[in-house]
Amino acid sequence: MPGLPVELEAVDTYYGDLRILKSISLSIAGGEFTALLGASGCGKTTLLRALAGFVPLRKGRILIGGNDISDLPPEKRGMAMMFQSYALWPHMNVARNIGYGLVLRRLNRKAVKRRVDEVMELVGLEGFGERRVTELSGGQRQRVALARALAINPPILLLDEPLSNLDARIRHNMRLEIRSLQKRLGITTILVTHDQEEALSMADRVIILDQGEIAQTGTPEDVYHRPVSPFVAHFVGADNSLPVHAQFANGTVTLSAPELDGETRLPLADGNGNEGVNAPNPIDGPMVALFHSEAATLSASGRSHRAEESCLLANGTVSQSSYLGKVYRHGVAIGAHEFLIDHHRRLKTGDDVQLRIEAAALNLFPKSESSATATQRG
Amino acid sequence: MKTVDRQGLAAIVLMMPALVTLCVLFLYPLGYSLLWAFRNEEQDTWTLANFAKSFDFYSTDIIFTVLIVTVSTVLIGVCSILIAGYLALGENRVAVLILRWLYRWPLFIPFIVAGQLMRTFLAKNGMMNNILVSGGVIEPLQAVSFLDWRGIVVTFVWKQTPFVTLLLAGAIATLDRSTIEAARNLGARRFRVLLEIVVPQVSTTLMVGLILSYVLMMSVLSVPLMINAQSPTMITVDMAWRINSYGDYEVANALGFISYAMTAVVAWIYLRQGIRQDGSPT
Repeated sequence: MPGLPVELEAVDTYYGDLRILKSISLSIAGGEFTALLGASGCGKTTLLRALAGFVPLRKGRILIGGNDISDLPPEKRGMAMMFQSYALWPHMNVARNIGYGLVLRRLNRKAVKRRVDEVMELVGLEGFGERRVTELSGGQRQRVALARALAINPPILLLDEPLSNLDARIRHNMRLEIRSLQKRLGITTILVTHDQEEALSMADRVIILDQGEIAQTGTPEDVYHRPVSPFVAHFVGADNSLPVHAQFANGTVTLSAPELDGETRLPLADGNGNEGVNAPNPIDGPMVALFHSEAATLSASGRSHRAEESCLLANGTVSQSSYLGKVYRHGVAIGAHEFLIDHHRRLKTGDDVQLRIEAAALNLFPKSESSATATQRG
Repeated sequence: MKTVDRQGLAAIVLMMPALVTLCVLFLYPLGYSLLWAFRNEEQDTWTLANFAKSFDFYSTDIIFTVLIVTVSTVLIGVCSILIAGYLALGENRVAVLILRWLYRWPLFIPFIVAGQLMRTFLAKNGMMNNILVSGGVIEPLQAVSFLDWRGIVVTFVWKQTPFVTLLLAGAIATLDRSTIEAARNLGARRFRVLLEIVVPQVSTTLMVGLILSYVLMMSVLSVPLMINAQSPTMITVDMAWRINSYGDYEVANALGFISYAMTAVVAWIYLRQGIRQDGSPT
């Protein structure tokens, strides 16, 4: 069955008196892979459970393919959900687990067996039909749960942190496998995760939730490179924060700070593909520049890039370093601030270095917004 | 080494009161009764005559007992599954709360009181018929007494269902809730979820509850005595009758042996289940 579009209209849900989802509205196109990303308690799982019918709506509507399903019980919604714990039935073998949804749809025994064999092959579980689910590894259980969800040929697939119980290697493989299966089958898929790498690598579109509200919706690139708020920037890993004074004029911003040598004028991103500083709320005055650890480069002090107009430069000292596998992460002290910067080789503690950040890697937010986010993050 | 010895001694000392109580108050009388089922005291000989007499006089009662207890066990199973299932899957929160509060009451009522309650409830002019007559469901002439095998079954089911439900509800509460939600998500209605997903996962607990109830019902004297003392009746009444009226301990012991054999069958299932569960990786 081709994927159906999903529409949420001003959805509100509560647990007791606690408002969890706050007037959530969003549209997901048929066949689209959407990731709901957010910290624990932000409401992402509640949103998925509301879609599946396990959490009642206090307000709003949910439309699937244009039909209002808000009042339908879970068994009549026709969606398939893959649970974080996999929720396999221990008293059934693999084939019976996978075929249960088909038996409920009153397919005859031959048709059930044929379809079960098909999906077992699809997820790489050939020959496992008679095995008890309790005898399977985590990765195999995850495949059974996925096969069970896919067996009924659902128009919408809901994935609740499906990879969180797997080790790193299997997790990476399963990301690719789920994504390629989803593309091949064209199922509208909604993934809930708190892992930004998982969301960015799998989804066509990422929705970031913050305290029951949508903080940003966009492509993975949008969310990562052009966050609309300090919360989103921090959430996708732009944790380096430099207080600056900003002056906006004619598509450029002039930044000054005690840590910088004089003033630096940088181009602003204009939304037409011209790269520059991301400043969704350009206000002259005190602002905070946020950037990712891998977005800056380090070089020995003295090799100045002063002539370049499209980057921010600052001089500092290496205070610590740690090995991350692919790169070394360095603590670089610049004035009263410390930044975490990745570099391909280890630099000695105490080395003087020059920090270079491309304009396109900088995200500028008014200081007031950034302070509010810092307070929220505790 | 000395520490180990001391620990072993402490374990034995701790165990002794329970062991002595078990031996003196249970194993000795049990063994004595079982042996004496094969005795003829007057002739001071070992014999099977007590069993022959038991089957001769009371074979109908033996079958009656097995049927009553088996039917009651099945009904207790059905009722407890329905109640525990509603407690777990019911969506009307008020109804669930009321049911949760109500269903345990019979647990705190002794069998003898339950028997007396049922006498006033199930008699021809009892409360049940009065309600049915005043409600216009039956005519006064149609009222019949339920103080026969049906009364015993009703009393047993009423008294034992809460016990099995309590065990079952506890076991269901420990299930991974998402296994229930996964079935509903795939299209199963709640009743089907109960039968195909929930009950198989708590079947061991259900079986243990039913076996314990079976054994308990086999040994109840007050209920059949108060509700259905006429023939056929349950073995416990026959045993009491042999002792109280004839002082015939030999036949009473033979009847006891027979009822013990009947409960031993289910006890064996219980023990086998326990061993399988401990030995099983799941």
